[in-house]
This record gives sequence, structure tokens and C-alpha cells, in this order.
Amino acid sequence: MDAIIALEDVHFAYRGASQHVFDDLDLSIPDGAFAVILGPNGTGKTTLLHLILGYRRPQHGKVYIAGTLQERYTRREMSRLAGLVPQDEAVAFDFSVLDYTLLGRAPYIGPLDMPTENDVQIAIKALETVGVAHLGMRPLASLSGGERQLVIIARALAQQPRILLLDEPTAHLDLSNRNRVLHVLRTLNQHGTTVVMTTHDPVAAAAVANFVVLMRDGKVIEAGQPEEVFTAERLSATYGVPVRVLRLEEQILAFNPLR
Amino acid sequence: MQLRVLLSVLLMGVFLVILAPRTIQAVPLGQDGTCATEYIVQPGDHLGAIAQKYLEDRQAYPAIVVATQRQHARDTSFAQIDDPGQLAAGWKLCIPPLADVPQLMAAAAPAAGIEVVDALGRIVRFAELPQRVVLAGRALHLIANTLYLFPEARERVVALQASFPEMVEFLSLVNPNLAQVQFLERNAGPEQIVASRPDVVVLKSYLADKLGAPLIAIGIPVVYVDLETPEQFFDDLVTLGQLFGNPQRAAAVNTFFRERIATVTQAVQDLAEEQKPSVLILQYSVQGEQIAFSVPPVTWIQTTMAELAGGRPVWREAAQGGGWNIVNLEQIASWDPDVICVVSYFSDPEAAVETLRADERWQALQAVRSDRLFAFPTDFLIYSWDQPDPRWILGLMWLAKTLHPDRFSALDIRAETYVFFEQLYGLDRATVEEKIIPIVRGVAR
Amino acid sequence: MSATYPDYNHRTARQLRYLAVGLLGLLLLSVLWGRYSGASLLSPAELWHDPLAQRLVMTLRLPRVLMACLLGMGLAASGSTLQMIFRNPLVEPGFLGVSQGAAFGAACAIMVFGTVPFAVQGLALFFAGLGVVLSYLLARHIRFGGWVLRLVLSGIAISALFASGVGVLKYVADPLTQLPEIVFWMLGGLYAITWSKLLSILPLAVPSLAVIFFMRWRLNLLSMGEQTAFSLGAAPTRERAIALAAAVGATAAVVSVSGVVGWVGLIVPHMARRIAGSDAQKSLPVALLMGGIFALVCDNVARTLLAGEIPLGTLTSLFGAGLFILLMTTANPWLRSAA
Repeated sequence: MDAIIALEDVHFAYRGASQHVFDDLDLSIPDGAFAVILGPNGTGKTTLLHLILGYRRPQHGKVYIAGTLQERYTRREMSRLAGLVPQDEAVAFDFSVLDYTLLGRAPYIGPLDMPTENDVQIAIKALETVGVAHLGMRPLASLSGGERQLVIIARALAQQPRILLLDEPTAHLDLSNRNRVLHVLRTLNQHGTTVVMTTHDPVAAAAVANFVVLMRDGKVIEAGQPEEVFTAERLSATYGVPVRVLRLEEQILAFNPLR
Repeated sequence: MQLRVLLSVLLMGVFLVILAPRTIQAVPLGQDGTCATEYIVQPGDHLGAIAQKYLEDRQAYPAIVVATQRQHARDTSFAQIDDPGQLAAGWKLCIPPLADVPQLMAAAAPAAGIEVVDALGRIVRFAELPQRVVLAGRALHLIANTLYLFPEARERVVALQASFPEMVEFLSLVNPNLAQVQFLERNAGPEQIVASRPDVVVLKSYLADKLGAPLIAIGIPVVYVDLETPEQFFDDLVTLGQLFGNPQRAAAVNTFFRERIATVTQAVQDLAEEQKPSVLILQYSVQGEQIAFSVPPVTWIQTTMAELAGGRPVWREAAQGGGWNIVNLEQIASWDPDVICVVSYFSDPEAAVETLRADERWQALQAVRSDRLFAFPTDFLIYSWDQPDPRWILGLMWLAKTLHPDRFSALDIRAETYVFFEQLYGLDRATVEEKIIPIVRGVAR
Repeated sequence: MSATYPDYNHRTARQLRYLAVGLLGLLLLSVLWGRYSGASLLSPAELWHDPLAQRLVMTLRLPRVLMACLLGMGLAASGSTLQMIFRNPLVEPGFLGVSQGAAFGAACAIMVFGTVPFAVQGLALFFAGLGVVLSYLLARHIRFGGWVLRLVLSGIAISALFASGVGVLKYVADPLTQLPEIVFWMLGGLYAITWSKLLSILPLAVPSLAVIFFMRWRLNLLSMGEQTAFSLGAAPTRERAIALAAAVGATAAVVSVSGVVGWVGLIVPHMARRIAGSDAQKSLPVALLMGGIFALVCDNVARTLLAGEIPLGTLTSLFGAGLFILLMTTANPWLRSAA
């Protein structure tokens, strides 16, 4: 498979920071993959997503999206190509779920234009896909955590992107909501969307990913199929604490034993 | 030798013959005049204001009209002025030299209808003399008195704003038909003014934007007056004389004032600075329990009066806010003026003076010790004689006599009061005796 | 339209219809209502026969009534826009130094150029713009906080500077002639509106309002965080700057002739959002119409209740504060019906 996202020799540091987040980072994510980026808090997972999106530019190195240099894309083109799902966001106003989802159509609506009937339909479709269409006229603030996360995903879906970038989507969700979200993502991936998800939870990763990237301190420790990557040594090296790996009913479980 | 003399004479002769026409041409002839300046009209200019600026008299605008017409005949870059009230931006005007003004005025064509030149230099034309005059704005009690100097005002002023009951009292003496005058409410807007169907509205010039513009937009003529300083008083008198169709009255009042001013200024003109007593005009006002003293700004009429009367106003150095500035006793003590005159609006200044005389802190001041602490005269309480009201001439005379009793021993203020109200307001002696003299404060009985 | 969302646009369309009819009716009524002789309604017959009344209506009332409408619309649109791009429902159109700058300019003009036509308006406009420019430049030098905080802080500082300037001018002003004019201007009023004044602000006000109107959906996007706006293809800084410029333009244009009129830009966007939802595509047109109605009602009271003018700003504050209290203490009708 061709790499849909490729980072070559990337250096990145935040302005004014002495330490680099990434030094000589090389990463290649295949097209159509369900990629999970795994690592402890603070390794730069969010920054990586920003670099892929083009929200931050590396000081050195190249980022390729679908074979073309990141810089060559206009912001509009990029937003039709990739959608970002943040963990949560503060919404200052009382938008309804549909209003909010409709924002995902922005890449297709000119700055002085209004959303068309078609746009509204696509937004409704996106809500149906994630299974929250019945909540359409509810205010966003009245939703539970899981429903909210699903709506944010719907908004990204309304962009009709090839790539979906998610930043710790299940971090603050309970078990049932977590499974719901992962289920939706897996379905999307099966329909051809490349999913790139960051998480610090190895169990979720193992459940859905077909491409795993282990990161620590801004460096890629290992990248590849889950069966190869999910070993006790690798995970321990990633997290810096002893990790044990179990296989249970075709699921991989990794945990750090508490004394 | 003789040849040389002959040649020099011939040369001189030739010289003269060549030069003479030019020198003759350079002398302003009055027929074919020259222009002292050429002026390009700016947007918003008024001919009266231009005349005021260059010829020092806004009524001299016909001289500019004639001079410009004459220039136009020879050189069409000069404007053709058909209506002096309508100037267009970009017109070139000929401002004649001051010396030519009298002849040009004499040569001016008489105006068709009535022309009034107001305080902003606007030339307002009326087909006939306006019969319904409305006075509008705020705090009109001082301006109204100037209007009522003209007997025509009694019939023609149909509406004004009554600020104080004392104002109504005084005006009913002057105008027995005051009941027929409509009193506008406070802060009346253009709509209400229009409802009284005026032929002309008289406003103070600072209201041009707020009240004047809307009235003009509806088509009601507006005449602006200033009436703040003595110079404005005389100029606006002429304006009012034009408005009421009685320029003789304006001239008569003018003479009345100028004669008295001359009496005062001539008697003190030989005084050196050190001989002039330092004088403080102080406003005394009580707010609840607090007594506040304040001094007028330098630009106001009190300062002019003090100087004309041969005094040195000590408040020249005080901090200059736009209105009365509060001063404390320390400041007054540091000035320690020779003469203190206490002004009080709305309360009796003589009572104020008694209070101050009894106060031991005030007894330290030399003015109090030498008994030169006076109440500034007032009648009807609100008409203190230190304000821009026609009574200021009485105030001036009183002040001159107070500052220099020796030079003005012949001046009888009481007698002048009678003359003032009789001649200027047409009141008969009995009315003045009964209604006005009893309420005058600050003048020796 | 999906069966699940029958109401999505219909309700707003209905609201807009009612409001538009209300505004037109009110305009007509306002033209006939006045103090021609005591507070009264001119009957059309009277108007037909009295040439003075006709001149009054055409030259004084009509421009004034239209201006009140424009004032309300301009401030409401500006307030809505600023609240969205600053993500803060407490923001008010004049806060970036526009109101105080305009007040300072007007005070200078009243003091120095007393009788020059358009002096007050011109200087007010100039200093209103200067206020924004200074706020912006100052914000660039502030070393901490996000861009919202920086702009708000510098807006406060520049407004305070201009306000103190006005204070000095008020002290030095002549209390009989200039001071009441300055105070009255700062309290806001439409007493001096003529056709020429109204037409003179249209070149600035109309394009600004048009920009805001056409950008109204985009404002939703700009009210999201930087990251989200970027990921959805916006150029957040540039687009916010354009929206800001339009909002300031509309505000400065109307404030330069009407003086400082507060609360309209703060309260009307709130009310509009409450009845039409937070989506600016719907709430902005509602805000425009409601703003026009609100300002018109206040101005009618200002010029007819008493013989003298009541400052417009006083009335908008009074009614605005009252409505605000009402709003805060009742349940949100939009939320209720949607639930």
C-alpha cells in the first residue's frame, strides 16, 4: 500500500522552547490503514497530528500527504482531505447538534455563502452514520460525553475527508461509550477512510488498529502490525514501566501490574 | 554746461511722461479700485464673517459685493454675486482696502427686502419684516432683555422659553401683553418651535448645529446672536435693529452705552498700573451646608468690566476652566485684593456680605478691614449687573464708582438706574420707583 | 428536507416575517408620531393639508426615523459579530476604543470647531477609527494571553485614555454652551439628523452591514477555536480581521452621528439568539430587525415623551437593562421548544 501520510526527517520545536519535540522523525502511514499512535502523555502525539494537518510547520524535514508536499495544499484543499477530531472543544455559544455538524461543510462553502440544502443533508447523513441523528435539534451542551464525541466525529465526517485524525477520542469516555466510538471508527475504516488515532490506552489500540506506532519522547520506537509491535518489551520501553501482554479471546490485553 | 542742463531736463521730462500714468494708476481711485486681497470662498463661509475678518465689520459686506462686481466686469474669474446670502465654494472675491469701504458702501445697490447680518456672518433675507419672532434655546433670561430693548419686541416676540419666574416678572413690566406670549417648554425641540409658526427664530450661535440646522432644513429662517462680550453686544444690537426694522433704535442704544463707557474710561485713563486697585469679583453660592466661592474665567465680561473701570482683576492667574472656578479662602488671602465685590445669583448678595463681614477669617483680609467689601448690585436677583445683559452698563458704572469714588463723585448710580430703565425699556418713572428700585440690592439708598 | 427536521428553517422564516412587518408598521407610525403640538399622532388628513407639517415630516422626521432604524441595525449587527468572533457574549460594539474615541473626537469638535458643519461627525469618525487602530497596535505588544485577551485589555486601556481626555475637555468647556453639548452627545441623541447626515454615513455603513450579513454563517466557524477553524479550511486571523473591520465600520459610522448609544449592541444579539438560536445565520437577521425596532421605539420615546429631548443612550440603557433582567430570569424559549 502507498503511504498516505509520510513524514521524513522532521524536526519540530515550539517557538521559544529549548527542547525539540521531534528530532529526525520518520513515519509512514499506509493508505486505508487504521493507525493508532500509542505513547505516554507528553510525547507529542497531538503535535504530530498538527503537523500532519499543516496547523504547525516543521522547522526541518518534509511532510507528504497523499504523495504531495504538505505546503503545496491550500488550506481549503487540506480541509477536504483531512478532518481533525479534537478530544473536546469549548463551544462558546448554544449551537444545536445540527448547527455544529453543519460547520463541517465549511470547506465546501465560500466565505460569503450560506449552506445549501445539500449541505444540510450531508450533515444529517453524517449524524446518522455515527448514530446520533435523533439528537439533531438538541443543544450541544446537553449531550453526554460519549454522544458529544460522536457529534464531533460527525462534524469531521461532514467534511467528507479521506483521512480522519483523532486526538485521544476515548480518553474521557466510559466503557460503553468507548466501544461505541471505536465501533463507529472501525466501520468508517472499513468503508475506506484512513483513520489516524492517538491514544495512551493500549487495549483500545489493540482492539481496532491494523497499524500501530509506538512513540516515546518524540521518537518512534516501533511502527507496524499490532502482532509484531505489541510485545511486552516494546510496550515497557514505550511507557517506561513494566507492561505485561496477554492474549484473551482473540483480544490483546496489556496492563501495568500494580503492586 | 547749458547743454547738460537741457539734456537732464529733457530726460527728466521723458521720465515723468513715461512713469506718470503708472503712478497714477497705482493710486486707488475708488472707481476702478484695486483689491487689498483676493479671497477664495471655502465651503461653509458666510459673507458677513469674511467682512468681519478683513474689514473688521460684518455690516461692511456690501463693499465686498460692489468691489467684486467691479472686478468681475473686467475679469470674469471674479465671482458674480447676485445674492450675498448664497456664496459658492471656489468663488473669487475682491476684498477692497479699508480706505475704500465708505465709498463702496455708498455705491452699493439698496437691498431688495430686508437683509439681516447675524453673529455668524450669515446674510438672511426677508421679503417683509418678520412679524412673528421666536426666541429659543436655553437660559434665555439675559438675551430676552436685549431683544426687549426694541419696542417692536412687545408685539413681535411671540414665543420664548421662560427660565425663571423673575424673568416673567420683569418682562411683564416691559411688555404688558406678556400673557399673549407663548412660553416654550424647557429644551423645546424644533418640532415644538415650529408649532408656534415663527417667521424667524433667534438663537445663540452655539446652537447652530443642534437647533439651527433642523429649523433651516424645514425652511424657517434663523438669525444667530452671541451677546457675550461688549463688542458682540454692539454688533448684535445692529443685527437686532435690522431684524426689527428699527436701526435708529439700535444706534440710540449704542450711543447710550458708548457715552457711559466713555465717561468711565476717560476718568481712569491716566491711571498707572500701580494706582489701579486690585479687585476680586467673587461668586458666593450656598449648596446645602457648603459655601462655595468661585471666580469667573478671564474671557468673561466681568474681567472686561473690571479693567474698563480702572481696576486690576486678580483672578487673571486662576486656573482656567470654562466656567466659574472654585477658589478657597487661602487663595483669596494670598491675593488679598484691595476691593472685593460679591456676586450672588439666586440669593441676596447683601446678606452674603454681612455673613462674610462677621466671619473672623475674613476679617483678616485688608478689603474687609478697610470696609471695601461690597455686594455686587442686582435687581430681581437673577439679574445681577455683572452678566452679559444690558444691565452690565450699570454694573460698569457702579464698579468704577466703587473702585475710584474720588473720580466719580458726580456719578449717581441711583439716578442712572432710573435713566436706564426709563430710556432703554420705556418704563415710566412711577413703575421704576415702585417695582424696581425697592428690589435693587447693593446700591446705596 | 429530512422528516426529522421539519422546523429547521421554517421557524426562523416565520419570525423574520413577523419582525419585518412589525418594523415597517412601526416606521410608518413613527413618521406620524411627534410633538408638532404636544405629543400626538398626525392624521394623514392633517398631513395632506398643512405644508409646514409636510416639510417637518420630510426634512426632520423621516431621516430621523430611518436613522434610528439604521442605528439599531448597525449596532445589533456589530454586537452580534463581535460577540461571535471574540467568543464572548459580554462584548459590546464600542469596546475597542470606538465609543470613547468617538466621544473624544466629538468633544474636540464641539470645543474647537463649534459651528463648522460636519466637524463633529468627521472628528468622531476619525477618532473612532483611531481608537481601534491604537487598540490593535497595543495588543500586538502585549506579551501574554491569547489574542482575545490581548485585544480586550488594550481596548480597555485605549478607551480609558480617551475617556480621561474627554474628562479634561469637559472641565475646560464653557458650562453654558459647550459642556451641555458634549454631555448630550455622549449620552447619545438623534436630534440633529438631516438627510445629508444620513446619506453621508451610508457609504461606510451599508458595505459594512453587507459584509456582516453575507459572512453570517462563517461567523459560526470563527467562533470556534483556532485549531478547529483551521482544520475546517478557514484563515481565522484574516477572516476575523475582516469581520472586525466591518463591525467597527458599522459602529463608527452610526456612532459618529448619533453619539454614544449603549446596550443595543449588547442586548439585542442576546435576545435574537434566544428566540432564533445561536446559529448566526438565523440569529443575525433577527438581530438586525429587532435592533431596528428597539432603537426606533427608544427614539420615539426620546423625542415625544417630554418637550425636550431625552438622551437616546439613557433610554436604551433603561429599556436595555430592563430587558436584560427579564431575559436572565426567565427560561430560554428556544431551548424549551427544541427539547
